Amino acid sequence: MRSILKASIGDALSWGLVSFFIKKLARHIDVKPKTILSSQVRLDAVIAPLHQNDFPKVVNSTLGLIPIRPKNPAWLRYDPDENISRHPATDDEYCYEMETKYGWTLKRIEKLKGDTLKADRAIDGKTEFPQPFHAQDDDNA
Amino acid sequence: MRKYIVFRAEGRQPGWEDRMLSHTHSLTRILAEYFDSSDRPIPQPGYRPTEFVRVEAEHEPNFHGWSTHYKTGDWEVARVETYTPDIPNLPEGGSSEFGMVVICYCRYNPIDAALKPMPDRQVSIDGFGGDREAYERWLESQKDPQAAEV
Repeated sequence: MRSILKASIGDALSWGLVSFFIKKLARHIDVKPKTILSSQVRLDAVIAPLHQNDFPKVVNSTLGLIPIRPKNPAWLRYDPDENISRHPATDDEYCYEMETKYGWTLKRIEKLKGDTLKADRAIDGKTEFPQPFHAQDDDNA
Repeated sequence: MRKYIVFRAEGRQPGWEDRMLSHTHSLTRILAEYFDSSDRPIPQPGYRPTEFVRVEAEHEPNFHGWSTHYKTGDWEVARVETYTPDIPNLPEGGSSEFGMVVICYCRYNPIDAALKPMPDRQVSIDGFGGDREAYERWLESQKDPQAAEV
């Protein structure tokens, strides 16, 4: 019983000391928001209750005030195992043609706004044009 | 061998009422489809098809199609079925369009995957069906920022 009491008092004292130092430390920390957001919205306050998969909702809920930047470590972590390349075409037919010609995996075709290039295909991986099929100056675009 | 890979939701998965073919308004269990001419192995249980995301605030009409980002998806392949054509080489010559049809049945299993921005596009003469004249015309149009379009 005595040993339990001793341990409890010890724990309480230790915890009290830790709390004391935390409070001391907190006084020296500038807790005012220093954020890149033009709206001065606390980024951590917005992110904390949300899951990363809720990102579009986050943007909508903040009226688009939170910019997504490639270097924003909170959202855009790099996964080297998965990459996408984009190759626009004037017709969806050419999307399939390139997939078979170069042995690619075509994951998606999207409509483009332009008058000339109307289809945008998403290809799995960082694609390179195999030289035998490829005219010399084609990749200058 | 070219493969047609279809990712389908298993039964009793969330969001079924929102999965619709936009041109027919028919509900569908298809989540995604790949056209795979690579020699990579077919997806196995545990694989997650890529998900494409549109973040409205980041969308630039002259740069993006529909999606602005992509990520490892929230659906996970649970089982895989494969089908091969009865006659791989057609009687009239040539071969069937696909050497294999792969159906991947998926389960919704969300993960904390990173959103990655869609990369810059790579325009090539192949995108113009090999029409060098059209390709060069397009290249020329890009030199004048006023006339430039996607």
